[in-house]
Amino acid sequence: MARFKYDLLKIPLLKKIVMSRSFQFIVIFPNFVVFIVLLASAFVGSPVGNHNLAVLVVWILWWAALMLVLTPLGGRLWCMICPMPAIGEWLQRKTFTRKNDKQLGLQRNWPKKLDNIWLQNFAFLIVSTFIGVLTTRPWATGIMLVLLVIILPTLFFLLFKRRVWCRYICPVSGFIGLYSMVAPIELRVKDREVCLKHAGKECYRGGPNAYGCPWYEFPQNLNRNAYCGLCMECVKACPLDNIALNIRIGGDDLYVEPWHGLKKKGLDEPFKAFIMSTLAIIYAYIFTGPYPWLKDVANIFNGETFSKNFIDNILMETLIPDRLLTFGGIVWFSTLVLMPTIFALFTLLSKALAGWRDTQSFKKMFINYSYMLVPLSLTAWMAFAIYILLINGTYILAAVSDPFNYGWDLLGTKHIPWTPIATGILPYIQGGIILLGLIWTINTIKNISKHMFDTRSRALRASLPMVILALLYTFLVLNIWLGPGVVPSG
Amino acid sequence: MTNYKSGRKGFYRRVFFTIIVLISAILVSKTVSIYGQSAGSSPTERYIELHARQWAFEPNVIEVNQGDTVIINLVSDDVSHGFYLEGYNLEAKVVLEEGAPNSATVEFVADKPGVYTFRCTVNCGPFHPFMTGKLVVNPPTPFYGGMSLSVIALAVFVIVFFIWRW
Repeated sequence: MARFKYDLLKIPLLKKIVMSRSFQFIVIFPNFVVFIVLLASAFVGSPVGNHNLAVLVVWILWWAALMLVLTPLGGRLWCMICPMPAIGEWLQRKTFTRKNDKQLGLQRNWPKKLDNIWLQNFAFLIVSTFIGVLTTRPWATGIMLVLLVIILPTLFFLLFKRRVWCRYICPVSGFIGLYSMVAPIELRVKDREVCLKHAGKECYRGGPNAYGCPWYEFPQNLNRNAYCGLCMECVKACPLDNIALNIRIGGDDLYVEPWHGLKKKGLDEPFKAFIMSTLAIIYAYIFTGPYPWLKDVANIFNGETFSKNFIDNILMETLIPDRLLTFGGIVWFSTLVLMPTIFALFTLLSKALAGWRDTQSFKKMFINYSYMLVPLSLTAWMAFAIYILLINGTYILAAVSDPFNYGWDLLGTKHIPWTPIATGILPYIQGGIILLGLIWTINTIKNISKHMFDTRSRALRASLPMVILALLYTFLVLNIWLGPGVVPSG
Repeated sequence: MTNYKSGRKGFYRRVFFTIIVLISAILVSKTVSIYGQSAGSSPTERYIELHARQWAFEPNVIEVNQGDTVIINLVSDDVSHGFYLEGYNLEAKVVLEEGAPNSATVEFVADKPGVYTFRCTVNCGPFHPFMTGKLVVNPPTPFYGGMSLSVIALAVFVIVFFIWRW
């Protein structure tokens, strides 16, 4: 049965907006302005993390928006409006909006060996190693913003062609790509046959009024959302009007081989899934868990008070190497060794139940089944995001009235006290989300199995350990958010 | 369309249901034990001296039974701290100023079962937002309810997805 799809570009006004060369600038620029405000706030605003607009917007509002709305509903919608590549891309193209064939920079090709998301995995782990400091010190968030929005992207835009930064390095892009695969929106070609017969390939090479895909995607081969940044250049480029932006129900991004089998799945995406599913637990333990030692080691700088200006705040802090090594060790070991090992054991069990001979290889089962962690960990992150938003959201209302600590009360909200919202029903909302994740995951496991095995019996047997693993993960997440967060005693 | 041959139908069903029964049995026995303990004990007064330091509470997990009257005496071991209990919306503060006491008390009846996070409410340093602990009011119905629902959902949806809607 054909799945429901509706091409949003059939709406004339939307098509007209998307076809405009100013489209990308218009959607990025407001975010860019917000970024400038946040950057200033990080350095001159309140030195106290939970009163600083940059810390609050980046780590509460933006994170919650990403995990609760933007990614699950819009896929890479954030990438469409993201200010991170803005400066670099404007410089590279030497224009804000126009099509310019003579670009600035060295225009190097990205190494073929790095055509994967391993760098994004490591970039996210680096950020996570410092998460305790980033979420509590405005100066740290400020330095991170300077690095991730100004220095590093600009450097990569001037060294390499297209959006190498977004596709291969950005720490945020990796997990958005992973979770975008379950979003009810997709950019696809309307009729692949039309593309295959058309020699121009303007969508990849660029056309008179559009750049070739900045994300190195070939629209005729798009069958997953993972690396389409929804920049809409291909819509402008296609002379055959063969690109659709579909609203869809369901989707098989998690089960299919990339580019209709022209590319093979590697271990980079499974490891992204391991990283995200493990960090959903570690972050939750740091933010609300009952283990003080974990919070202590996550606090890898030794500052215990706040000074009035950010230079003093940086100077009074020193790195504690023991904590860095311990917390870094926890983050890197649990995501790159522990979780993959547990998953490998369950995959072995799965292979044993399916039958050692005449089944898929261990590696293929390991890779394919790892995509069950996408809905499972996404809902764990949603439970996390809704908690931090409802508990700490009112801090934002107060901080937005005085973003630079000048004593302003711009919106009359400066004196709103910290008021946690819906704490009585919050566990039930989180429980519902986690439960939904389990059900969604069971369906995903079924679909992965169905795509991998030729007999129903074998598929069912192979699924069993994965279903049990999903249940155990669900128990763990429930224990963190609805339980004491520790193994019950007695 | 792939022709799915039926294999050893009974085997996987037996394995699956055995695992589900085992998990359910552990869950039921734990639930019965917790509910038994809390049902068997009459409401009592519980006094807890809760020490606060940058950035932890001691004890960090407090366990009481539903109906208990809980008196929490918050004592600071270093700088000013606060106490806020989610779900009950109770608050106390110890602000270390000259002449001010180094403790504050909050008293309430633990009438809502479940597990509730308590956290510091006075900016006590950079890691203040992470200074939390847990109050377990037995029986922690939402937690065990969630676990039980997970097992039920798993069983139902495995049947729905894997057998009925294959």
